[in-house]
Amino acid sequence: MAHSPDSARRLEGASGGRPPILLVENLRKSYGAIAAVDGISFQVAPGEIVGLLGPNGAGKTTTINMILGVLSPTSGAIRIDGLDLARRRCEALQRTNFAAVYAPPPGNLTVSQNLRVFGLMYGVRDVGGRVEALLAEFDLVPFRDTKTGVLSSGEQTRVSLAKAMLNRPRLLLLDEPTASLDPSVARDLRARIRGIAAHEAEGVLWTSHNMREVEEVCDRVLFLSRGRVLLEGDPRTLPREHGRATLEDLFIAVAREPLALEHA
Amino acid sequence: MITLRPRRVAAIWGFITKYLNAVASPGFDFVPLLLGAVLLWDFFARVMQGVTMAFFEDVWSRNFLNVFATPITTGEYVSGLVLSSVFTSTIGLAVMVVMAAAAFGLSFVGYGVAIVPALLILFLFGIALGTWPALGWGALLAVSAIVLASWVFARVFRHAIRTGLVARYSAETVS
Repeated sequence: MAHSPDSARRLEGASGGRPPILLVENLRKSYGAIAAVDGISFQVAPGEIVGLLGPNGAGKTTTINMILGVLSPTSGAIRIDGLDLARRRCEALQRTNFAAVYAPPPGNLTVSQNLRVFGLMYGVRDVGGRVEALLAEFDLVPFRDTKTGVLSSGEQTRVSLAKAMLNRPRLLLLDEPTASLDPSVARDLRARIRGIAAHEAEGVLWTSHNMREVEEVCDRVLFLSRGRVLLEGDPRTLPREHGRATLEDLFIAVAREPLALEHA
Repeated sequence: MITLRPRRVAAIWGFITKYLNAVASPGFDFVPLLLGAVLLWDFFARVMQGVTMAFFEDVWSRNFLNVFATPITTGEYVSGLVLSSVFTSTIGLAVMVVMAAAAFGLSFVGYGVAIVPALLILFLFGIALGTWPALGWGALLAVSAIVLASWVFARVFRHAIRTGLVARYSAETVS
């Protein structure tokens, strides 16, 4: 999809002159008369962590599924690192990876087998070396030959995150990545992902229902409600701009009174 | 595990054919007729099941989201299913042939060169059991069946992508 000069200038301005890693324009997914995602537009810049927030059924996972290429949009465009997902799916997905608490790697393969299989699927060079590095990085060496299905949920989450880093993605999608981690491991993980995003200029799209985590990690948040972007801004200043004390209060307002905020 | 069932099939039907040879009138050998047929039928079923079981492994482990979010294409995925089936069924056939030959005296060499096209046709989902003249038609039918199956798979995949079935078939909605 071609972008107008104005649109391109606006996007480049918002990302500090760098082309966005992820560009979503007028994305819409409808099932009959019901619009699960209703014409949303946003972008993620290199090194930026964007929080995708909203109540259950707001359209967060539908949006992520469309960006992952497992759900075709009714209309709109998705560009990953400048590549149109609809036309250059394979190249775009080579630059993407994800971790979601509801999509663990197959439990009947060992941790190292899982990482190796997905490394091959993503076309990782020196997959053996990359797997060893990730096993060490995510403290998974003791579980190298353990079947993934018998690990605790926190350990499985670490395997999912190691899988998500296999291809050094330019765009990382994390759907509630710390949902099953204890506070200590979750804090380490947040620090690690912030470090990776900053050093490797990855764009990260992060969904979470933990508002303190979002304040700590995200550079920018998008509040989704009924398939539309209702609010957008810095998670540390956005609540005050809308007369709420905390991000959690703002989240509850979005969930309960979306129309009031939309017309504010 | 790949060799367990072939060994079991060869042993069970090997002993049955030996028993039939003992009780039937002399001069008729059940080994090449019954044991050979059972082993070839098992090989034929194994090729078909190899493809479907590899597919269902991804269904049961709720792995679709992980697989189809990678750069892998539909053609590569289907080729992987077929290749894994060819690999496992070839090992199964080899184990059955060796065991049947060693324990029950079955020799595939006794069938002559016709066994080669027969096995090839069985490999192509058993479209035709025949000799050399039938191979052309058998191969044509088998290739047509494979192309048709691939086309249907691609249609089903596109439908699943359009309607969100792949996305929805995840632990999030199932659990």
